[in-house]
Amino acid sequence: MQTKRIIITGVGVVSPFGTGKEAFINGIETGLYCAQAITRFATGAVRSKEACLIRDENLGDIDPRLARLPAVYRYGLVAAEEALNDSVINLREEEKDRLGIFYGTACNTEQSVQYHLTLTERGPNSVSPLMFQNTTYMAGPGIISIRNGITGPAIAIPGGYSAGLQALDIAVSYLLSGYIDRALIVGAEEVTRLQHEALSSLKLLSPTRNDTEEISRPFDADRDGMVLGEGAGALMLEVSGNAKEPGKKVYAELVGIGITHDAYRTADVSPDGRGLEHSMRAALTNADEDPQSVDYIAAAANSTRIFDNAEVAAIQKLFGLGNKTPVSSIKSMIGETSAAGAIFNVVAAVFAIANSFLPPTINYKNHDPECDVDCVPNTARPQVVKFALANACSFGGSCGTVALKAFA
Amino acid sequence: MIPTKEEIADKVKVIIAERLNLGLSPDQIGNDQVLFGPSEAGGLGLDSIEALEIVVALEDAFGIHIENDEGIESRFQSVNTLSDYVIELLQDKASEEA
Amino acid sequence: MRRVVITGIGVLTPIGKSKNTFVKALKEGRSGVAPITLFDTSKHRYKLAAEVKELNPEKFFERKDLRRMDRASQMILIAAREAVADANLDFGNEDANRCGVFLGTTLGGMISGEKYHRMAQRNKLRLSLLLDFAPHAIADRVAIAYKLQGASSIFSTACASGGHSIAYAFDTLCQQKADVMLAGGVDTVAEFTQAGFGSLQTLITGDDQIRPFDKNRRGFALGEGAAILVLETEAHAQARGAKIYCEFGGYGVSSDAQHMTAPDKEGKGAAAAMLSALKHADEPKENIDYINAHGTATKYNDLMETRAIKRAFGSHAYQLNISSTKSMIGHTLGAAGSIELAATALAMNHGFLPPTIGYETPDPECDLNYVPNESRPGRIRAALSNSFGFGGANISILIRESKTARIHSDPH
Repeated sequence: MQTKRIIITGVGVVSPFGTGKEAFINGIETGLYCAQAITRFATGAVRSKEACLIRDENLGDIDPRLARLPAVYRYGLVAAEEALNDSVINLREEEKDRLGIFYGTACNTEQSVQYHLTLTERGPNSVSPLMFQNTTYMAGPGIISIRNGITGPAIAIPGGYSAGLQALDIAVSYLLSGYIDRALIVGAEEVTRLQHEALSSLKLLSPTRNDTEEISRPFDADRDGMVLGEGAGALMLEVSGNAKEPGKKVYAELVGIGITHDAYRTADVSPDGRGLEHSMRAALTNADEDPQSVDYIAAAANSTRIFDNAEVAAIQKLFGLGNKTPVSSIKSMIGETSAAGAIFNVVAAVFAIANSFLPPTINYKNHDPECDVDCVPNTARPQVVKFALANACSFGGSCGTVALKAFA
Repeated sequence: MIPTKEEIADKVKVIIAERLNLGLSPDQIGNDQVLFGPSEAGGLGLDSIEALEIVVALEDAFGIHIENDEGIESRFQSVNTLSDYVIELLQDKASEEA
Repeated sequence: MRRVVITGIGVLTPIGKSKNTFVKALKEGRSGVAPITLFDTSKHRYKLAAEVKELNPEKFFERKDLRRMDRASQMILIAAREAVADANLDFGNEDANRCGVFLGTTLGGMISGEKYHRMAQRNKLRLSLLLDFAPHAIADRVAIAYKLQGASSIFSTACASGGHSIAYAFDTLCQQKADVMLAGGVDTVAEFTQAGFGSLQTLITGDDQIRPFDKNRRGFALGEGAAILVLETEAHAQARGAKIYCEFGGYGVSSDAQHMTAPDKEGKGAAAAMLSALKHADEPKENIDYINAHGTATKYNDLMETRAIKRAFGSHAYQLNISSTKSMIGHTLGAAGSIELAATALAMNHGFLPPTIGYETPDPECDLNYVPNESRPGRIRAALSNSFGFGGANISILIRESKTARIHSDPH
């Protein structure tokens, strides 16, 4: 990266593992599988009955006024505030206009579907004045900004599954341009009935069959679709040198980032993986590193043939056929968490570096010759990780990669 | 009672015509016309999303499950092959329930 | 200093479906507000909007492609086509990895989404309607159409969306991450939004007009449209002999951090955004000749914006020409920042000041110069385009005459 160095000084997580980053680290170290029967909504005829959902009671003490907010905004707020408090003990008033909020998400809220129903069933004049607040993408960052009095730029990026990394890219740009001194990046998503039903109809979810259960198993030969997940990941970024506070911890340095598009087909991903190939190459070039120096890749693979095969193709193109750089997918544990997943991958890579281990790809039973990678099967592996990549990919072709190193 | 192949074929053609907004009526679709072949070659020119639309509609209409397996493409060659497939699935279903 | 310039403009608006017809309509002060035709308004209290009339998408796309294109996708691609042609741009001569698209939208393919929900309630799942529902589909479509493999993103900051997208294109070019960027925005008139804004009671009814800054202003009508601007570095533009509209000088951003639907009455955030734009563009405030206001004609916004302009400009505020093009095209939400920046660039290029129409009774609290009702010839050396969105996202973009390069001008 250019002359300024970008560091991660705060992390916040609301994930299927639980609330807080400790639960997340513990989850990926022990290889916990989070899928459970969906009880939040009726799954009807949909044959995928499981998802990795957040349990409300685990969100901790929330202001009762927030209890009726759409879930995704609650997740985003809790994760953002954890990252904020993790990084800054006391944000002074004069610093509040120098903090920006960059919020990536993919789908709209469950409540927005309710409004559509109200519109159809009871007509336009019975739509609540609250509808806006509960459906505008701007509410995600807006709520964080309003509750914390943050007057720097606040931007929502409804960019698909890779939105979290797009938000990160925009945040870095704002930091480098000097508009802000700190950036809060959030990737947040909730599982909605609409998403669940639609993705199942598109044959993208792992279904329950007679002889097998639905399961998230990236890279496995028997993989047959995703299991959905939800939550929010948050990062606080700063420019090194502005970090004046004593005892400030730095989780990692962001040394490269690449955001690309494969320009292939709407709602699809190019099978040659060129989107990820280019984003990984861009991140490496940015970081002034070669593929050989990569110790770990946090994968975008999500147990669909589309994503997994494309990512493997990208890795083989860039790293060489038969390359054994460890590449694992935490989506095997928490499911496809859409925009949150992009940030979760960054968090996984950050703690792989910090705690010297490789998160596993669990539920892995049968090697697929078309996914000939070291996916760190089933158990976390102790390993020194100095340089890691985190990937994200979206249906539609938008891809991203972030390159991370320990901060020295 | 499993419908006849002719009844199924008619239903399939109605589904294709109505759901896919092709500007065709059901009787303008040939029973052996290649569904996914290019229109210049006499096919219907459908693509993978339209295949999924047909799958959803068939599952709904006949109460069956269509798996995204190897060999699925050959089942979707034409209205006739699709109707054969539906009959198979209905027969499987009937014998499971028996 | 790396300069960024605008080399192409494509628009689809309620008062003109191309750049040239839009300019003509702006000069004539035409209104695009009319009774809604895109959906049945018999149950709606508010029945007016500024629609793009007779879009006729079959003239631009094959039936096969139209089958699953939302109106938003259609509009953005039509605007992109004009912009790329206007810039005389052939992406085949560019490095695809260094070209991308940033778009603002609040709704994405909402119309398709509405249809999907209506049919899903009748237990009919129409998957193809979902493909364009997610907002990122519009950026994907533009990237696919022109084979752009650089970064593509969607910005959704309510009414400021179409400004943020273009501002980020500017940043991307300044940081040398790209050579050419398409940037703009789109939003459609949809039942969902009409109902939503209706419940907030910010829409006009009956015979009323949109009257920004007027004493009797009662709000706006929703509008729809799309705009795409082609941005590149000045060096890149000169190297390929591109004609140049103006320079993108810089921008300023801030947030009100107060309330999801009501702006800060004192306009501190809005003022901060304008001052920040002046600072980043290194432009003295006295050089600003024109401000394209956010100007939604609500009681609050226009008062707040007037106060904010006075805060930022001091006595020079009274020398400024300020107008709200929303008086003509309605509030185009995610497209607003882009269409309005395009209007400003075109006005600069053609040497005129767009009017604020519907202006009948001055408001003593809004006492600046709003170019009432009729456009006027006038030189614009530098201008600001403001967008202050719900949720308090504020952006102010500064453009100015290009000092060194050839001016883009068509005979009109």
